[in-house]
Order: sequence, then structure tokens, then C-alpha cells
Amino acid sequence: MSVRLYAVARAGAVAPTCAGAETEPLRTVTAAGLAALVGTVPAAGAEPVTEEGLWRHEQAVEALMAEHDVLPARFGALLEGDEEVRALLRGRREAFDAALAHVSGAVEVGVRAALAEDPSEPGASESGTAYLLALKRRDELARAIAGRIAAALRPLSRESRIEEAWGPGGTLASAHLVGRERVAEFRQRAEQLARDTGPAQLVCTGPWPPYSFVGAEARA
Amino acid sequence: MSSAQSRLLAGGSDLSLFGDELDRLRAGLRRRVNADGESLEQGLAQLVLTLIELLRQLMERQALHRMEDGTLDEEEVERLGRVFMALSERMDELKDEFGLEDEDLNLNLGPLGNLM
Repeated sequence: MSVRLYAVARAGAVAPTCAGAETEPLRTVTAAGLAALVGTVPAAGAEPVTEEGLWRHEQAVEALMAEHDVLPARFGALLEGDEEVRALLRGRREAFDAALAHVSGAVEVGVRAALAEDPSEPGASESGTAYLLALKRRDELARAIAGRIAAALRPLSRESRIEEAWGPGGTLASAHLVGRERVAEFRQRAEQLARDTGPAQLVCTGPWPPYSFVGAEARA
Repeated sequence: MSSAQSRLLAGGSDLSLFGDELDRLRAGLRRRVNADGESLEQGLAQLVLTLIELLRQLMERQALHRMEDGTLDEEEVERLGRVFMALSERMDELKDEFGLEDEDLNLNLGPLGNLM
């Protein structure tokens, strides 16, 4: 048996009634003024990972987030037992406290840009010079779009992480930590921006648990 | 309650651009998380190709910088460009051969972020 970790919240957080990733019941383990949302599951690797399991993980974290500030755990974090969970909470107490204060009252909103033509490959050119110039234009376009996203959305965010180069599959990702009271305004601004990003399509999703803003020190 | 579609806040008049990404994510999930013995050889190929891809991209960036600095003459730019174009095509062939996507040729370095 293992213990699957979903999120860390402040002590007093109540486990939601929904099921966990492997349809197991959820409960909390408390130590050091913190509460970990966990479920008891068979040993690691017993169940194949499915998309449904991923969504159940997400739902469990979101159900807790509906009532409390949370630090979402990465999908698939397994610990040996409750004692190891308590040791984790005690050992990283300061990092968890600081990270909880940072995300308090906020959610993550994602903004991604993609080009109608896959920019990850400049395509076969007739000349080497044309190939390098196409690469250069592609890089500059990514930086320009990242700049527009930053100018429009950073002022509405507590923190923004914006990539400045095309990622795998030719999308440019950014994540924004937005206070709940500003999500509507953020969404409006993103909509305006989506009408004005030239050849790139913009998509804005959320609200999500603050996966990108848990902080390196708090990351399990 | 939670479905990919219900989380759309703004934009995305052409979601198919991002739909590919989701398909790749699904395939990657099966490939990366549900590993078995058969995939060991593939895992090694993936690691080797990741390192080659990293070097290729670093060298490409280096060439771009030198081109911008003007330290390459026209003939050198053309020759380098051809080499990188050929490398990029060869890389695509290798990815196809081993059934790998761009995402697979990346390493998560924890607090340092992604390799590429």
C-alpha cells in the first residue's frame, strides 16, 4: 500500500467527498499546522495511468481549492505511509507556509499561443541562408508575442511565468497567478489580446490550481 | 465538471491548433508513464536523441548569433544553413523511426525547468 498525495493546505482543511485518482476515498493527514490531502492506494504501478485518473486527481485538488488555499502536488506523488507524509509536512513547513501565503486567494490561468503554421520547423528551404533566416524570424516572433502577453497580462497577475521560445509542438506557454477577484478582468484582457496577436492564435484556460507557482522549495 | 473544453476562458477560435497538443499528451502519457520492459530500448534511444537534439539546437542558436554579429560571410552562412537544414530533416526521420514526438526529446530538470 502507498499513500497518494494530492495537495498541501493549512491545518483544518476538510477532505472533499469526491474520489481520488484510483477512485479511492480521500482524507487528510495533519502535522506542523499543515494538512495533506491523501488517499490510500495499492503499491505504485499496480494501476495503469489513464486520462480519467488524471482528471480525478485534478478534481480532488480543485474540490479542496474551492474552500481552501492549496499547493497542488504533481500527479503521481506517492509516499510510503502517513508517517512519511507527516515527516514531509514537518520538514518543509517553512517552504509550504511561504508558498501558501504566495498563492493565497489566487488561481492559475494559462495563456498559450500557437501559429496556424507549425513554427517548430521552418520547413524545407531552397537555400541554407533562407533556413537560418526563417529560424531567426520564428525566434523573434516568439519573443514579440511573449512581450505582448507580458505587457497585457502581467499587470493583472501576482506573478507571471512566460516562455519566450516556441515549445515542443510549436506553442508558446505562459502561466499567471491571478487573484480570484481579478479573474474576470484578466479574462477580458486576454480576450482583447487574442484579437490582436497577429498570426498567432491565443487560448486562455482556467481557473486551475496554482501548479506553476508552488515554488521550487515547496516542490515535493 | 472538469473537462478540457469547460476551462476555455478566452480566445481559441481555432482550437484544432491546440488539439494536436492534447493528442500528443495522451500518447506521451501512455509512453512515458506506463513503461514496460519492451520500452527499455526505446528509452535509451530517447535519451540519446534528446542529447543530440539539445546539441543541435544549441549549435543552431550559436550560428544565428554569429550571423547577427556579422562574423560569418555569405558563403559560410549558406553552408551552415544547409548543414542545419539537413540535420533537422535527419532528426525528424529518427524521431519517426523511434515513434517519438518533440515532447519526448526534453528533460525536466526540476527547479531549473526544462532542458529546452
